[in-house]
Amino acid sequence: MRFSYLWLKEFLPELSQTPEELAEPLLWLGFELSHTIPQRPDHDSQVIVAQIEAVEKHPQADRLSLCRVTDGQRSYSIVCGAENLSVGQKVPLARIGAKIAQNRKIEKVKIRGIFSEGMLCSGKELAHNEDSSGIWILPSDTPLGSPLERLLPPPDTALEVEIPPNRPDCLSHLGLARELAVKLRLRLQLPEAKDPILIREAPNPPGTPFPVEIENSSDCPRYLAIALPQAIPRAFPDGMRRRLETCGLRSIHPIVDLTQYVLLELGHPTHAFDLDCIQEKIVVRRAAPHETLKALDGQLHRLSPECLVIADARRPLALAGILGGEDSGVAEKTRNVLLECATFRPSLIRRTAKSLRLQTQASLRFEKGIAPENVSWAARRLIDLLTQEIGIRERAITDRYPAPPARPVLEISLEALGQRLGLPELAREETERILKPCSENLEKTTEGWRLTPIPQRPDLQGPWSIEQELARHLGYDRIPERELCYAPSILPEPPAFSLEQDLKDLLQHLGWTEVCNYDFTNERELGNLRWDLEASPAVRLANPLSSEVSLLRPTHLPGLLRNVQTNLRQGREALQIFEVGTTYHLQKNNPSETRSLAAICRGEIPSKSHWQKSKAHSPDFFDLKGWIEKLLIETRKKLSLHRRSPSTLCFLHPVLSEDRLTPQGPELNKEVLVSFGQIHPLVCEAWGLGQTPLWFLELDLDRLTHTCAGPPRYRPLAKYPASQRDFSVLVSKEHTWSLALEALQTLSHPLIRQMELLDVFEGVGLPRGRKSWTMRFTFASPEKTLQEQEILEIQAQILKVLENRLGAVLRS
Amino acid sequence: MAASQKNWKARLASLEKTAAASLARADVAPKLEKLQVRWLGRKGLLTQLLKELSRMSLADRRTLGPLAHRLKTDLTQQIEERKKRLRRESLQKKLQDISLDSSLPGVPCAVGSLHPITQVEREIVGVLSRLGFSVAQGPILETDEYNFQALNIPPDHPARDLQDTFYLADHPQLLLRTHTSPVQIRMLRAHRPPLRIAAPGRVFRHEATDASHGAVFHQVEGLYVDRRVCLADLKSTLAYLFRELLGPSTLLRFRPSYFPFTEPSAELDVGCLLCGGQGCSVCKKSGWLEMLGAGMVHPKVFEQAGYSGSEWSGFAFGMSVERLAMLKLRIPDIRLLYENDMRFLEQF
Repeated sequence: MRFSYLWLKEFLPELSQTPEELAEPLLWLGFELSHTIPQRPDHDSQVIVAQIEAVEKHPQADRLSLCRVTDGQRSYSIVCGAENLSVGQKVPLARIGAKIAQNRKIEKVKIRGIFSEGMLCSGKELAHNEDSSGIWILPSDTPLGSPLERLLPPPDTALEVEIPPNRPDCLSHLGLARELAVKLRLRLQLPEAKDPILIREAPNPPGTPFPVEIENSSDCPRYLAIALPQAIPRAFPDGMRRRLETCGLRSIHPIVDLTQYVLLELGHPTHAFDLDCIQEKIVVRRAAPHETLKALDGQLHRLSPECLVIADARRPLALAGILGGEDSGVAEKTRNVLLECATFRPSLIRRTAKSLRLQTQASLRFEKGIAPENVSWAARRLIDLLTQEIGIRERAITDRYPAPPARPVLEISLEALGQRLGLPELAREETERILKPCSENLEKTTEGWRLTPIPQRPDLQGPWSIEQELARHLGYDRIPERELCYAPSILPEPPAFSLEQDLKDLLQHLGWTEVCNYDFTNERELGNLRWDLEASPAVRLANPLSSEVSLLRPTHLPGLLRNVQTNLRQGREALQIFEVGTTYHLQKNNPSETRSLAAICRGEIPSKSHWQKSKAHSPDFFDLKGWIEKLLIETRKKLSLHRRSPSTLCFLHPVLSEDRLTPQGPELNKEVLVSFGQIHPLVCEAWGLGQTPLWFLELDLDRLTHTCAGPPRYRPLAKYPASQRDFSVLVSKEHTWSLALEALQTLSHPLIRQMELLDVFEGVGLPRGRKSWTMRFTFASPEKTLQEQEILEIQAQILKVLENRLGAVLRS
Repeated sequence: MAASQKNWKARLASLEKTAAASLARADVAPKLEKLQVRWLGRKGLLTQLLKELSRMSLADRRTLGPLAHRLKTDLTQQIEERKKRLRRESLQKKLQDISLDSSLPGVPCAVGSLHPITQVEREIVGVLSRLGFSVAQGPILETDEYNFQALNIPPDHPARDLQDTFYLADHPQLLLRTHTSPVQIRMLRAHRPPLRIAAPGRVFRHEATDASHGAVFHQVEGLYVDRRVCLADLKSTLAYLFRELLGPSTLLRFRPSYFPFTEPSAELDVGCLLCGGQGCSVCKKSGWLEMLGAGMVHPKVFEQAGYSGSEWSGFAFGMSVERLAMLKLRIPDIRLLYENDMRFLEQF
């Protein structure tokens, strides 16, 4: 909110800080002074400093004098009515064409037969002060000829201060002044109540009250109406107008200006109706369906029963607590006025303002909560100003306050306060000094105090609020720093978190670089992945920032492909990147999220070329497989996984891809733990990524976390030497290696310690349709050194099972 | 006999005399082999002398024997030493003959890196876990209940303006969490205090991205609940955290603020790392940088989690990982963190 420095100063007569110097105390109160704006004076640069050279009597008029003044360059002949002039004085001279206060323009005029080449001004005429008793005599060292506006301090300074949402009271000058008064230990001067009439809770005020009905007092706890018959206002006072302008408001009509003034001074929004536009009575009610209202913003708003309106017997007149109606507002022609001073349910105002996209000075305050007790205070101030400032005396008051709520009573313990803040030595007097300004009926108890917060402070709801109040005014810098003494950690680290850390470290050590992408994607990107949004819909945002980011990613791939694009543009052909994050899915139309790890690699490893050409290597399917195995072994996830080849993922190669499934459940419901393979060439083409193969893997971390191997256990080391035998078998080209593994699994001979595949050979020298596998077996017994004969026997068993299951033949 | 003894002694002396010179002349292994045969072989000179000794009288054998045996030991030892030396020399020569331009570049290993956000998040969590804060995590797809209501932000609360929210289409009850604070509620509902947690995670704000704001960013949330926790505990913990993260001489400023789920609430500023408090464009001429929001857990939050706010007390704080990463690593634009340009990522 924008504040006027002079207005604050009116409530804080002892204030000695400059506007800029208020930044510090405001900050310690929890408000931020974002900037200050010096206000321009009311007069322009044509008002200059002149010196009086001669004063004579006007030949044609007794009360006027004829002066000769100089600006150092030339002399001017001026007719003047003031009596405090003498030769040698320095005075402000408004030259012909100058603009002075109240928008007056100086013209060349003949006064009693003599032309005056300008005007000597009083303090008031320049809106510098209120002194109109004579010409403003400037100090004798004032530089001659200079524009006065350059010599004077700005008449006022606007302060832009950020007020947190729990402090609607500080969206007003009096509220902020109350804070500063306590912080800076200044006297707070409240506006003097000049009108003798007090508004009580059960009023019986004079005049003919205007009928007011409240449909539901929980929507509108209190409604006070002031009827002003024959309200012909005087002009709105200049000084007050300037303050409104400093705060960024425009002067409209004296009565409207007055409501604005009360708004900025006390923080209570009020509204002025043209009484002649109101039929019969005021009704505070919900809008009927399809009702409309043309508001002061010129828009026709469609209303619903969610909206609270101020209506008359016939139609809505205003959006309660937000904005008045166009045809019931006060205007030039208005004769009779009705002033509204009320409070409304904050959530209702907020919802209506949001749904109609209307944020006004009134809604901003009402949505944060204004206590009904505040109405008396605001109405009284309104009446005072009406009488004093714009000369409206006659009025009739209606005050509807059906169910005054109980005011909270807070029990405050000094000891508890000190404990909670960490200030055990907190003094009673100091605390009381801070509590007093925000309390009514501050009462001493044995423990501390009993108090009711003033109605302006609805935020004070319990002892915790008093703690903050005290800490703010004492200063957070008074809170001491202590030695930390924490007990050891209480909860174990979540396994998912440590798994992620381990996997990230592993990949980094393997030479991969971690990337970080937004979780958003869109239909086009998924389409380019051959993703079928019908079959596997993605989670959609209701309010995306743009259609480019309207979906939540079901896979990390779009982000990773974007990263490949980014780096290809920089000429980076080889990449090894990975990401750990969340992917989102709709399962039976229920949104769910999964932590997963995805990696993509392109080009040669290591990516830098080297003079020893043989050191570079283009990864392929089996590198990918090796990495996955390493990740699973290193994270102690020893799993027997089911393979599904090729992968069912739409964006992977129809042959060079594979899924690994967790072992639980029936075949169809086995869950994919990891998918990997080459990105489908059509996907690369759609993303403009060229011919180089891209290798991709995506690992479901939630599933991986939940599969676990126990801690490692010692197995005795072999005491007897092992023997190795290599041999090759010929099998049909159709057979996969997994068949051999399955065959050996059925054998599961206890003396076979290890088996490695040394070579796969297809080609010259072999019978047609056959290929050769060279295997190395390691045999060992925990009990003895194996004899040649025993080894030959096992070897025969191996060959037998390979022959039976695969038709394998020992290659000679 | 005397003559033969004399002759034997002369031969031994002669052998002893010439041996050293002969050894010195043997500069290759074959020459050394030859000497060994000549002296110590089956028909070697010394072997011969030893054989002859057996034919001498006991007295002669007593006096001459040790002479011959000492020479044999000497010669054997000297030949061995000479052999070792020759082998050393020949190896040395062979090694010297290898030519190498050691200034040629080494084979590059693929060097990976962790994203700066991961690195800085680990630093923060690392300091907190030294204080016994356990890691806790919660979902990104949250309910209005956990993200707002249980944190004392009922529907239509003005504080909702502080956190613009992404909602899911067709599932109006679900949103992308706007802060990591819902983890507080989840942990409080799952575990009885005392409780100390650090919750790192990704959060979302419905706002346009610029140099210092992203629609996606990371936070670390801290929560400590126990009996008699006070504001001074919060201030001390945060001071420790930031002195660990930014150095012991870091300037800190603890000032009031407002959050619906804490009261009293506070913000922590650190003296600008770039200008040292002199005022620059990064700190907007103030000399201070906002780092973190915090406060004492609001009794209504305890109430929502099923505890009595008078029995338990606690503090909570939340900080942006990106902001700290940008300041620590001098990254001028938050968007650089999400472009994933390798030229950027390789720097950290």
